[in-house]
Amino acid sequence: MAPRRTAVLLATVALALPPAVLRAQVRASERATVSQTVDGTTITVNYSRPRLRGRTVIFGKQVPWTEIWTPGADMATTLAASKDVTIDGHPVPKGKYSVWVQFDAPARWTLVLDRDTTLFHTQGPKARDGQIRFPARVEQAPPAEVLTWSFPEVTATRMRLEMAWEKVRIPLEIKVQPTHTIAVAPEIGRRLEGRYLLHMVPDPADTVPSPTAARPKADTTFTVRYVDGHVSARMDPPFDVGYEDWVLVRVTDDWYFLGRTDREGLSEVWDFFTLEFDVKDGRATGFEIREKNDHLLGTAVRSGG
Amino acid sequence: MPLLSRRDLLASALAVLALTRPARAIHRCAHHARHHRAGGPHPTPRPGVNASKVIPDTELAETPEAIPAFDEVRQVPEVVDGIRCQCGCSSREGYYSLLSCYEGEAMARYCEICQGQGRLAFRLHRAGKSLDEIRAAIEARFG
Repeated sequence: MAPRRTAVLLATVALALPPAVLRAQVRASERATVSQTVDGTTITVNYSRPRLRGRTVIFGKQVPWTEIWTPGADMATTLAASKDVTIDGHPVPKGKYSVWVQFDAPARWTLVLDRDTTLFHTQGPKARDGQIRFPARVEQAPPAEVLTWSFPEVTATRMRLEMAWEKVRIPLEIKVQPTHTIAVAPEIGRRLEGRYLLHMVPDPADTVPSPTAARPKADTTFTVRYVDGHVSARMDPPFDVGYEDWVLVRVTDDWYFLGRTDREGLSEVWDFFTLEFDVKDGRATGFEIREKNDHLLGTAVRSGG
Repeated sequence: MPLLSRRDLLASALAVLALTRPARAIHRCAHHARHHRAGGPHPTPRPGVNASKVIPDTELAETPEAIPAFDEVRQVPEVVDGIRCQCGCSSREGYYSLLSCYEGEAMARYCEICQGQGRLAFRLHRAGKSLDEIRAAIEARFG
């Protein structure tokens, strides 16, 4: 009777335990997720993190050169893209993929993205239709105890995804589809060219305590030029130091957001303000600047140019 | 203590605004707009639709900045009823059109994208734009 009583007791305890306790498990390779969004495109990597645990050589030993290996452990590492992207210049349609490395030679690795995301690490897929394959760059790296996927570089248009473990890393350049473009046709851009006086609309009823006694100069000159296929604008005085130069990002017709650029192109878009140009006889006479909720912030009239 | 117009402050500190924007209480619908880019067709305005269910200004005491949007939407319910809201709220129960955002729980009280669409619809309608032109403008600016 004693063993039976014990079994009943164990079953009772098991049923009484909260599900979280029952699920809790120490794993040699704990699960992790890393995610990065750039311009509305999100890349998510879900993987298990093996540790060296005293092993000094993984590649060519624990992971033989004959193997197709998931850069992780247990269930295959997955990569999900919320929109179409390119990885190292190769088109990758939006969706979720299992991630594999095919070792063609010790120094020649191929990255494989497979549509089956339910594979265990021992079920490396054979080459088949729908797979995306391209050569992976393999670089020497400082020793890494735990296999790590990360995004060490992010810009307005791309991100670098990187897998590092043991003494190697695989960097992957991911470019996203830009939401906005600064390219504007000449006949559209040139009609805005000129100098405007921008006057912020006063709203005496809508006041807040000033942090300083100084009242800022409300008006600013806004000079628009069409150069190299895009519309640039210069503010004098600027809204703030360092915010003199802008690019106008076309929304529709003669509506624009304010944007800023860096050496890689469009780096920031202020879509919470809209500049609505008024065009008459092929030439802008002024513009309004409005907040997201359509409140009128300021009006500008052409003053020259 | 000297007072400064909010608009004057904006004129002098748009840069600061931009930097702090993500932390401001823009309301979660703005977050939805970024990620959902609410697509899908615009609804057909319901025959005889009116503004009788748009909540009154007396219920907007906590969000007085939203009153102009509600006032303007009340004047053009047949236009607003033909617009699909771009803030990501269009999948919620009982939703039909942008007009729904101004009725019942009226999320337009807090959502500046709902407010902006309503005010823009009113302004463009008053300027003689067609419903299709208004829809296109709203998609371009908020979609």
